[in-house]
Amino acid sequence: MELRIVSTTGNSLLSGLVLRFALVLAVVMGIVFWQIERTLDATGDMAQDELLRRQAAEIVNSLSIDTNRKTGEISKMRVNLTPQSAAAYLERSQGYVYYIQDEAGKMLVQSDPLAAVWVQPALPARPSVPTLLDTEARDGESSALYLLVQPVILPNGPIYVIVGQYRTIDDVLLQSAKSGLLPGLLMVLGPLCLMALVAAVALMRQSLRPVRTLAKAMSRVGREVRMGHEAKVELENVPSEVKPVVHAFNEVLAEFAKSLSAQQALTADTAHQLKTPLAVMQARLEQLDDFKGRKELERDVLRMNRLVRQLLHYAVLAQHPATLQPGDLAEDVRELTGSMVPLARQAGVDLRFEAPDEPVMIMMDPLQLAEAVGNLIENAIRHSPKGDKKLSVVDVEVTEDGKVEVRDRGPGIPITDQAMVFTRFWQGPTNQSGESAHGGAGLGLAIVAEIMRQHSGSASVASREGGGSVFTLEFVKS
Amino acid sequence: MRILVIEDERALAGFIEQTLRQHGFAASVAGTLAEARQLLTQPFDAVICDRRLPDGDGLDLVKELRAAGNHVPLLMLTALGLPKERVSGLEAGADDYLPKPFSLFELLARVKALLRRSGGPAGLLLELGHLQLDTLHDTVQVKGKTVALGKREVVLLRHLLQRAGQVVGKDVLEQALYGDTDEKSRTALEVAIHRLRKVLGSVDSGTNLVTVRGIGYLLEEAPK
Repeated sequence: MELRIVSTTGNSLLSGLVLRFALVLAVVMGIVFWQIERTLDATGDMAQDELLRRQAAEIVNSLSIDTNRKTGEISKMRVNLTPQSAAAYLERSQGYVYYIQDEAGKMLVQSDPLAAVWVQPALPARPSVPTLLDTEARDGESSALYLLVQPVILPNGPIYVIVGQYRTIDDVLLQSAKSGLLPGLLMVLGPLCLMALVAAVALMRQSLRPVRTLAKAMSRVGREVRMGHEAKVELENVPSEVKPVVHAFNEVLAEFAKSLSAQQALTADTAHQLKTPLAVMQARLEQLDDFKGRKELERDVLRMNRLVRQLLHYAVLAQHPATLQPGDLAEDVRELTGSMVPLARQAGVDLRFEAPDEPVMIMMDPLQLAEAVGNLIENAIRHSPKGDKKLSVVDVEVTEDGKVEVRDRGPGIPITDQAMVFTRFWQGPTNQSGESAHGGAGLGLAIVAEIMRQHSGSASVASREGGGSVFTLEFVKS
Repeated sequence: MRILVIEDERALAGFIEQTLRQHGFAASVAGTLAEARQLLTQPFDAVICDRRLPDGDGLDLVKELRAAGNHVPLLMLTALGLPKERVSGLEAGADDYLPKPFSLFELLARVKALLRRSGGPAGLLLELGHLQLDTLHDTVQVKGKTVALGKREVVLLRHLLQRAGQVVGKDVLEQALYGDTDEKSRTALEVAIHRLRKVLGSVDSGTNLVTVRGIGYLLEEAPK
């Protein structure tokens, strides 16, 4: 069953963060602008109210009232404004009006004949305190009035002084203030926001650096574990936010390593178990009288033997890494080559050895060294033609600088395949029945490569001039 | 000559026993360590011992035998063909180590080599092809006729015969001839080998003395 858990953070942590930050910034900007506009509006309203109050006070102060002596009723009322103020009421463009009425609603005096039309419908019934109000825009008029109704108590009853301003005018003022202020603000705040964004990106990148370092470390550790080595990501310098992820990663790796080693143990055990029945099979075959197809059968059994042996080696190699110690490469390879001469002679191949007289000291695991070089020699013998004076020759040479070369004069390996030969189960060209041309199991060179890796050395192959291949193992000199 | 085969896989033990009998050996088979211990109260000329047995590791038996001063030639058989196991087997006191699966002919050759090297009764007469070397008297015969050889050549031949089919290192031969290995003895060895080869070539010895360049020499049976 495949479980897919899709992360909601998108592809890049950084771009996600930046996007969110930009969003927050935009929202904050919006709130700031909205607040500024509200404040402007409120300030505008307050200024308006204050203006109306002053206007009302001015009107009240400049009232001159004549009263009937007998009844005490107001007989005449005038507003004695300074010429400057009076002008404001005369010019309609200034938008000021006043209107005064008595308690009964009788108009006493007004700034212009139209005032009553405006004011009257909006008036509340006898307010006892100064009252602010708006008139609705009337049909055919695009403007409305801000009004202040100011009750004035006179000896025989209150009168109401009503002052007003056309709203269009101060709205225009307010609007022009806003339209001047807001773009100005934007001009300042915009670049500031942009700078904040850039700084945020830089900061985020920097604070995400441990994550990138961690990713590299994790991939390195993963590689090690895949190759069967014990490894985990150290939690010490990991940022606490990422620790759970790393911890989980380590756990998964440990599980993986466990199952890998279980699998290798199984492989080793299986290979091991196969050996006895194979031995029986080989013995049975040898006991039989000659029959048709015997050679082929013997070859098949041999091939199976080799595969089983290599499987076992490969599995065991992964479980028991090399223990290196100083040793004489020339001496060890000489002895090994000598032990393989009988095999070479059986195959009709002349196996020769060459080394400097002085010891070639390297760091090595002698048993693994023998396995690696032995694999190469066996391969070289198998790929050599049989019984040809010139071509059936395999040369093994140890050089002063810690190299082992195994050269044959077989068919060689095409350059395009040379990079592949050290991978597991690579067999080279196969025939129609899917068998490798030389019956190799395809594990030998993978084993060689792994051994050389454990020796911090390298294994390589090249074409030999005049045909054949040269396999070279490079060791670290001690 | 009596040989004890300790192997729990019956079919395989049967084949080994049969092959040994066909080549003139008397073979007994033990399927467990306990059986083997019982049989080993009698003398044997060689032991072939498997490692993984139902009641333990064959290696333990080898250690027991050696600790008890029993130096019977011993060939370990095993499915554990790894170099590490091979070495631990030899260190425990086995004389040779044959990883499974193996050819019965190989097994027979190894057993014969073991007997030759042990200096036991079989060691008195080293044989290869038509060649016979009596180690007691240092005399060499081909098809019953004595061959005249110098002292050095006989020593060389003895070493080569003891490890017939395998490469014997130059240093080993030099050591055997002169007790040291320097420039002078190297030339002397080449001269001695040349002489030996000439003599073996002149009589119908049925053997080939092969030079393995860079390593040493090998004496093998000539193909018929």
